[in-house]
Amino acid sequence: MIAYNIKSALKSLFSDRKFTLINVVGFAFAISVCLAISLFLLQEYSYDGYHQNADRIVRIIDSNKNSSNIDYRVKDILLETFPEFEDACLVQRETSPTNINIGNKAFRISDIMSVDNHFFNLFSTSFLSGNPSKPFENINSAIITKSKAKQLFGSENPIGKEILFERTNLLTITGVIKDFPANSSISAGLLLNAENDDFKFSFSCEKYSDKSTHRWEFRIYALIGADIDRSVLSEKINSKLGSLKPYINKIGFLPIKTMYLYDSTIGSHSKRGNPELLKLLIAIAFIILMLAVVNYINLALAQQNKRNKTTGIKKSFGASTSDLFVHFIIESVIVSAIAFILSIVLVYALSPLYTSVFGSSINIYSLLDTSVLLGLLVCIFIIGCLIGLVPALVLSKSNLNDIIKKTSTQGRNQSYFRNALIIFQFTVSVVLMICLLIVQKQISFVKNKNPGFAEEHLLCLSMPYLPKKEKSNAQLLVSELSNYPFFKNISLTNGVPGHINFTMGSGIENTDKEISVPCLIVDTAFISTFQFKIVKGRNLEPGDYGKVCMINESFYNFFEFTNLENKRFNNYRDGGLEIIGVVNDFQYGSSHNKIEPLCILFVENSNYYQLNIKIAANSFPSAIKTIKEKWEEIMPAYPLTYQFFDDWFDQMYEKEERFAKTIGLFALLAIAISCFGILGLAIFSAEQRTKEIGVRKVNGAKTYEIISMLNRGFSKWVAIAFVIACPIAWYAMHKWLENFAYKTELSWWIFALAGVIAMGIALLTVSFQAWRAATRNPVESLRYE
Amino acid sequence: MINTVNLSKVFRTDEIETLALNNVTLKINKGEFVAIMGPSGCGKSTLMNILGLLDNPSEGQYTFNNTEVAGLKEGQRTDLRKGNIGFVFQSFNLIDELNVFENVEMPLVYQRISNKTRKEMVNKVLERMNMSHRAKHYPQQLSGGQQQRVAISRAVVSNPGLILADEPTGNLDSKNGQEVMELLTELNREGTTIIMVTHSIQDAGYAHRIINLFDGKVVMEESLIEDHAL
Repeated sequence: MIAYNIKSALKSLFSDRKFTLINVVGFAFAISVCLAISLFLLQEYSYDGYHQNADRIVRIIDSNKNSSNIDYRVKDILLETFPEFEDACLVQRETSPTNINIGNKAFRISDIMSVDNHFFNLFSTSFLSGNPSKPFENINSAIITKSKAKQLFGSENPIGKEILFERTNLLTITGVIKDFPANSSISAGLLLNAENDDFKFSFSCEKYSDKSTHRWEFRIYALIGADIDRSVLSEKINSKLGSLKPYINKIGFLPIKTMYLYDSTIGSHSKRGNPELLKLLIAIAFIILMLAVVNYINLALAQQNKRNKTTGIKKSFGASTSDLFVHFIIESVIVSAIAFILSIVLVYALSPLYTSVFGSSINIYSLLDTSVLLGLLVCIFIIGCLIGLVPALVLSKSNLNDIIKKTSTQGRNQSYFRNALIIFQFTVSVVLMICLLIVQKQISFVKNKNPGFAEEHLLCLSMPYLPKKEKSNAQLLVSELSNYPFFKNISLTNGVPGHINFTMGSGIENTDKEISVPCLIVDTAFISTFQFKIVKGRNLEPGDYGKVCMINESFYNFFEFTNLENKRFNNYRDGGLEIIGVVNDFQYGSSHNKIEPLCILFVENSNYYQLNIKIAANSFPSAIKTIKEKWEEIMPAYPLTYQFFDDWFDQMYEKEERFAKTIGLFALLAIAISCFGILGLAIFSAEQRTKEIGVRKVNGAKTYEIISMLNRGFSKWVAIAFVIACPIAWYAMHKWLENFAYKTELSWWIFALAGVIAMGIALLTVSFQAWRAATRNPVESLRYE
Repeated sequence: MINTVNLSKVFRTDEIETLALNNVTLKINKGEFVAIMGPSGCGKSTLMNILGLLDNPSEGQYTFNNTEVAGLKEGQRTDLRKGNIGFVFQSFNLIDELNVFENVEMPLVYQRISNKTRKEMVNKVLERMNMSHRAKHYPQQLSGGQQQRVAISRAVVSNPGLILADEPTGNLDSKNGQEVMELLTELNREGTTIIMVTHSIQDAGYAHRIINLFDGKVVMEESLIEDHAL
């Protein structure tokens, strides 16, 4: 019976191939979106789960400060005092790019991590060579990943090779491990021994004068014994905090399996996912799938009259309602199966698009896993049943008597139902379209917003960390370049707007307000290079080094200054720095945030990380050629990397751009799927009304009158959908824009434009079918009846 | 075989109430060939649907093979129909996407008859109807007469005791029509009860008895057996 049903379902699908094609293609698109999103979700939710002891590994956090920055000494104290911990390790990332020299070759790499030998006990790493039980032989040993070894050493065996780190430490490679998998939030290419004080990269202290608050910050991961209750353990530790103070105030645990998505601590230094985005994607997958389901139901119900004949014949020859129900379900399961197969092909073919939307490459082979395949089969069946349910219920129950008499059973209720489904589809499309337009408008708004300084023709060179004896080379490069007329201004800084990584406590006298302030360390040319405006006071002068600073307007207003007399910044350190001037508020972070207080410091012989060069217009080729020559001459040991400032600044909006791309792609798909549906209904309605069209034409109706008659119904639905969509889109975008301190307006024309586009697309889709129906010879159309 | 007492059928829409059958009392014996005649809209098709267990009467009694069937649920009527009643329609009502063999096979599938037995039964009936050479053809590829022969094959393939034919020659030319009538007569001779709705006096002439309907009532019954005997 099943075999017979499958055969007859295939036959009826084939005989209605126009509708089958529309259904399958619409579905394939929808399912490929769901598949792509599922693949992404699978990856996001699998983060850090691959470690053998993943369930028992936690990161130690300071829950009072909500911080992952823990002094390295805490590790030993925990292991010695609390037997509940089986093991623990130190992890610290080097956050800025680092210089590496191998022989006479120079590299600048940014994926360096400092760990101890215990790291390899806690986390699952597989050694390709070296001694896994003691990977670091001494404090100058280093471990390298396979791909990093290939980058640095080519095909040579890296074991025993030497690396000069920041031109100070000579390291020896003692182990090679496999690359960290893509779903690891902890990853690096080069691992250094944290036992070496040179590789305790981060130092902090709360009060400069109070030596007891000195800390060498690390991430500490601990392996907790099986069956240990974590809340009991943390309480036990917190009740004996005396031994841990002053390094930590209150202990907390962050399980590593959740840290990728739900880590809110400061200084985690590991990759973080975006659970909000995942929720949005799940919603999108669901909505797009619903659109395709709606198409199927709508088209299936629309064909009811046509199918009633067959259903009636089968019923009169003994088919029961359940026989027919099974037949319709099998039909929809077949549609679902074909759509799934097609969608896998689509996902594969569109994998470059996947990469640009999700920012990670697709692993199509993960679909070949047995459990995934089984899951797919279950999905095929469930979706097949889901889409087939309503049509199967309606079609298999049609009244036999009506069937034989060939009268229509399509009541008004059912056509209301179908119209409601179309309105739903168009509502979704219009909402997505409005969102897309507003997201685009906001992005162009923040990008074109005046940042408060001149970002044009500004080139940023990345400066290496220079050892003491080479420090003067930076100044030498500046003075050499100053000889050329096409370099208008040159300034050395330790950060630039958009990329400030240094903060200090405010320490203003006579106020309760204490905040940590982002700081830029600059030279005298900074203000003129970026063309800031000095609102109050004066500019920096060569004699000011180490004594003064400037603040921005927000700083001035935040501390309610009325003048700059006797105002000093960061007072607790040797009396702090005199505030000599106020610059205009400029955008130094993303437009998500309001401009906050900022301080511009003046420190002689500081470590500068950027060399900012204002280049005269139209002289880029010669300017860049000169920079390359001079760099090669003065700093041959370091690779040259540079970037145009405006490009770099815009990177802050990468996340928004990706969001816009995602919304855009899905909006397009949603509209396409809805159009498939409406196309199907248009074909159907033209077919069904063939006789009516013929009669009208015989009685003198013109072609355009017929077309407008067929269009009228559809445009009414789009109009209703538009009315429903506007408030929904308005609310959603209003919420989204709340994320920005500087936002574009929700202009009325965007809503109107989305409505016009939706109407245009719907009319185009319907009109073609209507035109074909309307230009047919009426005699021909009447003869069919 | 068939006994109805005061069968009535009322169709209701929002505004209009139509009495399609009005107190019809009938008795049809096993092995009879009965023609039902009457003008358009007199209730012939309604009567056929009720006799064929496709529909329930609004009032009255109907015993089919000694079972009271008025008021049965659709599922029960379907079970009773299976293998007992075959239908032949004016417009053939073949399923377009199925070929000749599959169309004839269809009733057997719903009786859950095994694949092998089905094949034998279908081949046998197609041979008898002279349609074996057309088994793989689709309805659109056949002439009207051939289509009706397929429809009759489908009606008789499960050897039902009763065949209901609704204007079986209505869409055929006279030569094909005559052939169909001869087929039905032959089936009747072999013991199948046949009830046929027709407009054609000539076709009605093949029957043993003619029942005339007018406005939902039986207005005249005439027996033709003597005529045939002559």
